[in-house]
Amino acid sequence: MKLEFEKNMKMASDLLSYCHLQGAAEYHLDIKSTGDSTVFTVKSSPVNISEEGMEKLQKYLSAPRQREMEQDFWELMGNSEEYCEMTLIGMMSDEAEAVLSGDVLTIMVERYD
Amino acid sequence: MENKTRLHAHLYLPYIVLLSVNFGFLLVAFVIDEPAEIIGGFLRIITSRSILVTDYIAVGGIGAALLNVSLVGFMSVFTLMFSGVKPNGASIMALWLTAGFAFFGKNVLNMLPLTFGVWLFAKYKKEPFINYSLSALLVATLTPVVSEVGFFGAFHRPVEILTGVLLGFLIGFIFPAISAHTVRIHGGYDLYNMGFAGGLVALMFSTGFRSFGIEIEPSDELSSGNNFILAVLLYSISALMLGIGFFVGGFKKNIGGLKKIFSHSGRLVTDYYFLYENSVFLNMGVLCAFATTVVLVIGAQLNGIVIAAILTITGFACFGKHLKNILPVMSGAVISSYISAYFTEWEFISPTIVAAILFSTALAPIAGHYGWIWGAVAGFLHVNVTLFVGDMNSGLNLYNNGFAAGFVAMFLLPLITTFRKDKNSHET
Repeated sequence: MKLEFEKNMKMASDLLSYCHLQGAAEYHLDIKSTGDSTVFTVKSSPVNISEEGMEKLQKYLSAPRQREMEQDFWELMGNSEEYCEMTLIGMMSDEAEAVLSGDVLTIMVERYD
Repeated sequence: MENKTRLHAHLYLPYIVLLSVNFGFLLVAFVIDEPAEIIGGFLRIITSRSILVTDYIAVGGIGAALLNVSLVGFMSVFTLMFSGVKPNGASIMALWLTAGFAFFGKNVLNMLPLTFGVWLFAKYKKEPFINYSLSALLVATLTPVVSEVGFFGAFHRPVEILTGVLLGFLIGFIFPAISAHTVRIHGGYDLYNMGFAGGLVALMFSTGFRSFGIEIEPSDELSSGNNFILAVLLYSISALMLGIGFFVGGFKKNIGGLKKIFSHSGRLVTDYYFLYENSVFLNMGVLCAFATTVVLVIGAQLNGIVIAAILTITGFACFGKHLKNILPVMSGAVISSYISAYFTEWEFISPTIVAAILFSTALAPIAGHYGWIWGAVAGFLHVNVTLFVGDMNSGLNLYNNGFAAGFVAMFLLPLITTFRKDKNSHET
């Protein structure tokens, strides 16, 4: 069950929800799909994240790609109430990066089809 | 891109632990029983109806049940290893759960058609089998369909077996689509999502059988009188887990990780193994010992269904459960059980009630996320629902408690989100 478009939309929703939970009021979402991958870039501000919070976010996003988890749990995405949802984004992506510059949080996630 | 199934296997620590435990089961089997008894018992197990509740210890004896557990365990670990699955919270959980249910309901024969059906589905979707490896293990919740039809006893045996196998293929083929969807219904608050999906499938088969005039007789084969040997086995597993947690990967680091595990609600998907590595062994050891002790303290019997519940809790110590989020739910479940025992024919220490108390921890994320009171309410409702929901699917779904927990979560979550005061809390 590929359903790549649906999965991508849920990932985008989760990324935006996460930024919202960090207090963001302004969001910029960029999605680029090439033949074999999709890159999400979310820039949001102003966010209020502690150093520990950033470490957790980076840890969760660094979860290795796990296609068996993606298959069983991707439908859970789209309602990011907790940080742990970001683990699922990590498990569904091949590369991810989170950078905090002042009060601007930039999250980049790349996912191969 | 890692999109191809790898044919080489890698021995990771959680797999080594599982293989060692299964090897231990095998050794114990041949120490406590004679080979002839074990083989005879094993044949009775694989030809049993395996419907709820069929305790393989009662069917074949402890030695034969342990042989089945170890064979199912080896098969499951090798399935994941050769599919190229790296250990994570979900895969470790699935292996322990599968081992537990090999004490009642799952055996090396009735699992295979279901797993093959999932493999066929992966082929049909032109995707690697690894994508469906969890479903391939956990679809075994519906093994009673294969055995019940295969050994129904009303038609020619070869026809029955062939029909059972074909139904197994069919169920395996449709199961991944259903289980992927059901997780959305309870929002990740029922940790036994596959049980919920299995319950829906079993409901369709049960009602289908009934519409053909086929009534499925429930089973009530339960063992007793084996508390000493089974408690020794369970506490040994607990000691092994604690030993690994204390000595592998740094004691202080693992204790620190255990404390952090307590800060999680446990809602799906919370992979403690990814987050805290070997600390999960401490959590597993603690929960295994705790669940075993609860059973012994209330004076209940350790038998197939109860051991399945204990090993399931042990597995979910990697994937959502910890002492802090299971205690409220179990407290509510105990209160509910007392009331049921007082007003109905159920005994408080009957295996079904004890299993319901232990399996109520499927709803641990409700306690973890919304607090003690809602957790206790969830546990309370879980026992009520579990005691009666099994009839809906004629005992064809082994993870019946997961089915019940899904209904409780569906009922409770809208109420909680509407009426609780702290609406904006989330983990940090």
